[in-house]
Amino acid sequence: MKNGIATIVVLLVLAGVPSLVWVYQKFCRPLHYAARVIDITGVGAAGAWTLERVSGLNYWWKPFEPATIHLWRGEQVVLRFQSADVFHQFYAPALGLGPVDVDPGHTREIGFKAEKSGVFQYYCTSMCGNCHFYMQGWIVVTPAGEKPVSPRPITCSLCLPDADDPGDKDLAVQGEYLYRAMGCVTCHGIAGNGGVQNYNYIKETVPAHNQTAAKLFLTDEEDRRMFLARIRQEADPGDVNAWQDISRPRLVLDRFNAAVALIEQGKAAARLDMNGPDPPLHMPAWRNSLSRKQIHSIMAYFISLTEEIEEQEVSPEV
Amino acid sequence: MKGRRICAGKNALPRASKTARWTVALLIVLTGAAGSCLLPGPASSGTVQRFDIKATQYSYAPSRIVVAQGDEVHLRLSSGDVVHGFYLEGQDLNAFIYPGRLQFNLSRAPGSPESVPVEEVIFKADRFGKFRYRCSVTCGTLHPFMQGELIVRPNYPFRAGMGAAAGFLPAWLFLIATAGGLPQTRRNRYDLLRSVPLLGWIARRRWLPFAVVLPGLALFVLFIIAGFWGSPIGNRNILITFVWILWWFLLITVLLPFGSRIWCMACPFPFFGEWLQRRRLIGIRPDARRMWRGYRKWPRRLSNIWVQNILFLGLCTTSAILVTRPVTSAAVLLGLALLATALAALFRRRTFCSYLCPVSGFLSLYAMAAVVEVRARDPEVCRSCRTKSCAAGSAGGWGCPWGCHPGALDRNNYCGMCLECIKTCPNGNMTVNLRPFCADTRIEGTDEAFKALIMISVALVYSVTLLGSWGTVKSWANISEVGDWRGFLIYAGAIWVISLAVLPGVWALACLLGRRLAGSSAVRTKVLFRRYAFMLVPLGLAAWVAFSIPLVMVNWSYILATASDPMGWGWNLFGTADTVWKPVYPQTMVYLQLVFLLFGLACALNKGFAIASDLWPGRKEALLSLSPPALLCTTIVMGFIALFAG
Repeated sequence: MKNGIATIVVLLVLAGVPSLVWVYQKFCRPLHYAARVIDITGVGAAGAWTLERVSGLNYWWKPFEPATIHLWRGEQVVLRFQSADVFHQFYAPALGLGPVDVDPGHTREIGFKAEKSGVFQYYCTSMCGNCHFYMQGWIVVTPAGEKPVSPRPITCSLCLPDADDPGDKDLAVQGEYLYRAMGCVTCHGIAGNGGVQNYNYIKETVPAHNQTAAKLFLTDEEDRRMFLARIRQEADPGDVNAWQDISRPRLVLDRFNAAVALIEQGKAAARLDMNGPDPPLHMPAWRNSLSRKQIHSIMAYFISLTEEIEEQEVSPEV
Repeated sequence: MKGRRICAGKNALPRASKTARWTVALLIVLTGAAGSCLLPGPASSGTVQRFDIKATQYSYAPSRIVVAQGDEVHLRLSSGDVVHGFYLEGQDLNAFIYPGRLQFNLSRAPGSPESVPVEEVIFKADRFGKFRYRCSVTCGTLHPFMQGELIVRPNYPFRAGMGAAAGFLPAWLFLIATAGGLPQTRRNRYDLLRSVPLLGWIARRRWLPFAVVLPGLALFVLFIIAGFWGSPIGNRNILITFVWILWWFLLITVLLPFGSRIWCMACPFPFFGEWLQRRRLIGIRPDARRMWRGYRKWPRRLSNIWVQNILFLGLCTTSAILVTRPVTSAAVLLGLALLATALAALFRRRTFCSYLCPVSGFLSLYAMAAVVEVRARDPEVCRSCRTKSCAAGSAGGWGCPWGCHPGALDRNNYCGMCLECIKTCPNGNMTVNLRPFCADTRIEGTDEAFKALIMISVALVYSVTLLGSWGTVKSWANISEVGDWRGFLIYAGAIWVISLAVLPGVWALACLLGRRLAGSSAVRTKVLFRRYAFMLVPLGLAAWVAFSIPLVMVNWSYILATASDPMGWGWNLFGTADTVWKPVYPQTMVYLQLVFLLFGLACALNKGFAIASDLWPGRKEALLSLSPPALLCTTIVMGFIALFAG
């Protein structure tokens, strides 16, 4: 008799605990909301805001799909944000949504009503690891009755997951590696071509970097060669005397040092419409992630880009 | 103290009054503490000290900054990878550091809405001592252990602790020299079950173990669900916070010292196996005395705690991963429960618990220090007992599931506190006694002596890895995220070599030296190695308590938060889910740790002398042979003080 009751109690515990967990999660929690709840989890390791459920079981290996968030125009929803690892920030400036601070362990809920239809980009605006600059995606707002479009998700297409640092044997090569590994390429474009849209930014797109040589007054190939050789020798860019074998060294160094300072200290992106939202993309301060030498090699890469473009321009004429 | 008999030895000094002797001993210790505080130190200079502190997963660089009391400290904080926090103990300042920005957000407390972006924080180092700066924003797996240290000199707590530890040895020698004789082994036991009839009634209830294990079983199921399907963030998952912080802390500071192996009664691991063996949850089988037919005996060669020692070291090697990833914890807990069940289906009694469970090993060791024991009231009754029901079982209860003969128990080690013998004894001769701290005195096997040394070594390694500020060691230990196999090999090698070779080697040398000093071959070194290792029982327990204090005081907020939101799914059962992380009285931690470490050292020295007197014929030989191990114990405690307070 006693043992029979005890057996039933054990079975109740074994079945009851999971059932209670399930019932509470499934039925007790969402009742507070009249609106549709969309769970969005930030996963730094995968570089994605995802709609998939992130758990102890799948976090460590799963390449989470970046969320394309589909809303109906005029629909009231609750966006519920969580982080699966580190601090993230969710920002969709074109919809006036966010930036929402998503602190790991704290659920952030934002009520939202989409008034205009279209495809809007969202971002993670707080650096969250190697994949941070790919942590973007789309909010698609569709008028009722129309078929929603499906933009291609933004994934780590330009990542260098397995590449090793090639070392500083060739500064430009190392610079190109860093340019991609650190994620510069996501905003400044492949080969520094720029052109990435930055919402409400005064210049509209992120600046290109394939004209660096010209901006540094290094149009002459000999000058470029000498300049790169000096960087390689780690000549002090604050001391003009060490750079006397290039033409106009003071001018070149002023521009060079200004560019390096900008990379080190970052720059906020100015607004186009002063009453509009902050542009989602701004130049981070790289001082704490890149050494001065690494920044020099990125500069060397930018200077070398000009050469390739000129060669391409020259070759058809030949 | 009444009733203490001091028998005069051959060359006893005139008997001094107990109060006077203890006053002098205390004065010696205090002189040591005060003396080292008065040593010349840096003068308060009031100069300006500037530091650039860069946070990366999971350390700060520099990880240690040293200033003088009265200095004005300017800190510039930056992050090299993800968002980190910076909470400085003693100053109550908290910063939120964004990577890619020159400014950081500063507030007076974590989670405070009034934060201002600044480029530099300035404060006056007005209080002396050691203050940790800790990450206050979850930044990845090892986040709860990310810390650096600010030393404000003169570091009086550290100096006083070291001085007091150094003073213990002379004070102890003085006490022995003036005691006028060998200490008497006294039997001061307090029969709990007779004195508190309610306890006696509860202990005899057949449903007691079942009632105790049931909540544990429910939590176990919840923890497994949380581990597999809950948040991958360790400090937001109830499995991690409740098992590795709360349970561990309670086990080492409360359950073990005050309840011996009482945890073994509540442990859900052997539950299913025992159910399988007994086919009863509460009642008794009529054929209980013949129930082991068909079950195997555990091989004799493995009938010691070596397998536990090895498994424990194995788990320790991977602990940085185990205690920070819910999924690995869940897998290990589930695996251990399944293993316990499978073994129970094949072998007799609690084979898993006795010979394999990695926790059981140190429970058996430190249970010797516990203030309770299960013993026979009158050994004579047991000696003349023919049925031996306590070992074989009776209509009242099962035979000892631990394979002990409870009537003959004289140590706590392998008694799992299931209280079956209290029910089986036909003479009502078994009881639970209250006794002084550390009342057992014998380590019986080399396996047990090694366990004591392993526990000290692991406490040292953990204090460096998890409570230290060295990021390199953390990334060595954090192999699955960092992938630095060379570093991991160094780390793993250090754990195994220190605990199985270095510390045992030094201990053996100390014992050998002691034997030489005693100038007698009456006791073999091997025996000294084993018997003196008992000193490491109170010492190790104290070191583990000192190690566990910060775990719970720093991470208390995570326990509160996960109680309300066990899976990290955004629940808020008790309204504490959004508890902001803040350490509980962090500035008291160093002092608590010092008190426990010094208490452990005092117990170790006291116990050491009792054991030595038992081994050697004369007091002089006892003292001489004991002095090298005693000195080694003092050094170990100083090592812990240096790690925690220095």
